[in-house]
Amino acid sequence: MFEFIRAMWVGSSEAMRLNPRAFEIVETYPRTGWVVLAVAIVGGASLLLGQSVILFVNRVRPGRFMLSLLLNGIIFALSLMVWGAAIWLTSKALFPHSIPLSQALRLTGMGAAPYVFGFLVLLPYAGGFIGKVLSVWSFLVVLAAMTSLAGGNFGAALVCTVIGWLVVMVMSATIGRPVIYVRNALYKRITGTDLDASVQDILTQFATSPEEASSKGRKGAP
Amino acid sequence: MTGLILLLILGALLAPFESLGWWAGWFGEKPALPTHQATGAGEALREHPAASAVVYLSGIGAIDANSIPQEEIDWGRMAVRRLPGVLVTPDVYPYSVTNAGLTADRSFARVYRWIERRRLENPYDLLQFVINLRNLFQVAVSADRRYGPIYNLGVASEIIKALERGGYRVGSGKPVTLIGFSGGAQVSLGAATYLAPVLKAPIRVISIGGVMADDPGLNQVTRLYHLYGEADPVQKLGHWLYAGRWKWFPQSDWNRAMAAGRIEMITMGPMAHNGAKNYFGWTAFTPEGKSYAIATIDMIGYLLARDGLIDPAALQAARAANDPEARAYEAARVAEAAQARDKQRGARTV
Repeated sequence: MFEFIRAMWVGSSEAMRLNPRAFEIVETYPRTGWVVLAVAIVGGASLLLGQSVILFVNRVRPGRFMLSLLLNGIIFALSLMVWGAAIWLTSKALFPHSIPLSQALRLTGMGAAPYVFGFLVLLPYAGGFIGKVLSVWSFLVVLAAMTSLAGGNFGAALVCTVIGWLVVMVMSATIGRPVIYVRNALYKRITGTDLDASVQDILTQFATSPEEASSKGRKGAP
Repeated sequence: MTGLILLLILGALLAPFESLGWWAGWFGEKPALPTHQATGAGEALREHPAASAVVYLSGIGAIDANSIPQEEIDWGRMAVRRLPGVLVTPDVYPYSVTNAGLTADRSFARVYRWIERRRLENPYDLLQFVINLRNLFQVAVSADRRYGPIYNLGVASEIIKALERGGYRVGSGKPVTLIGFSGGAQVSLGAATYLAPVLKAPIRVISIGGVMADDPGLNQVTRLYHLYGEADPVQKLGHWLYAGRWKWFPQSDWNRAMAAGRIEMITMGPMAHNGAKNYFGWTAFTPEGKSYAIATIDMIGYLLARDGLIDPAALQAARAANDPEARAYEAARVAEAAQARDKQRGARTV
């Protein structure tokens, strides 16, 4: 267990430093897949903690709140795997010497390492900016991993990473819709709410007079 | 040093939970929300005859609605006497969504009580910065677009209850002026988001050295008066920290309100944010011979009279009646300060 946590710690911290050796270190650990999975789950849970205002706005109860964090961790790990697969597919289609799928999945998973600090998004004022920094940082970690996997060919790694990401975006808006439906149903089941309320709804509900609210209603009426 | 930084980050991370947990009902109580009808809190009282109401939201040194720095208490007492014909509501603690002071039923209430005792013994006790920091984080929560709508809703609800307790009738349409010092000005702006539609009354905000963000509440205020001292760098923080106040974003709430002439920046001369020369100072004087505290009150009186919220003749009469008391109070504070200086000098020579 200690060895496992140590591998998570060393792998994450080296990945965050964009150290090409980080990926060798992770790859040398016997249960490397589990290490990467654990990093991705922790990153996803931490990120949701940072963005937990959505859970609070929807009045998710404490027990369900904790379960939601775990669920987000798992879903986040899965989404990184999909990205890894898309990168692998792109490399296979565009370049003669494609990268091995299992390695692509594992190294993309290490992209979650910066999100271990996702809870910092909670910080008032600075949180939003920190969230953006973490996104860029995560992208750079994946890019560094792919560069190392592509034998130092930065251009090929960049093309594969960006196109892979675009493929995921296109898929989630088209054939991935049923998957998104299942994901949303899972969130609904775990949180016990539709998670459809936002901070903006609070403003709309309480920051408009009854007259304004009813006139807004009339505008939308047939 | 690292430990201190980590503690600061931890404090900032925990800051939003009070309001978020309140909204989610995690702390047992169902959130009391402002409605468009009277809440009933003022039912037992008769409607106050005043034509407008003033709510004071203290600076970040406040421990609860009543335990605020002595200088603000003295200033408030004098302000009540020099601002005739308005209903003054001082009992709102702007750094809690439930109006619960720091010494109320809280996890760290004992610590805050201890700090409060120390502050009563020595108004310059350094430990009171713990309170300042805690409240500063709440100001950041109020200004944050993710948390502000929840935080400000709680405070607005408490303001309405306090107004009703004072005899203000919801729906009367009587104008309400929120006076906020330092962080209290930001919370005033945030609360205005809800106060205007719920009270159906014009809302003005008078900021005394306020640190304010580009808050959506600006769209609901009739006027925002920002009183600032030229020796007060703290009030400039709002301008530096919140991009919506930068001139490069003309469509921001702040810049649109500025362009519409709803924000007025009023210099208070060489006043500072803290220390003897602050807006509530009794021992520093304007060239006209008014203490800074009286000058600030009189500027507020002037603005309220200019907006037709105070009868100018009544204002003059109240000032004339209060002047001897104000002069005596100033003289007593000056003598006290001189005594304290002598004592310090004596201690140094020994």
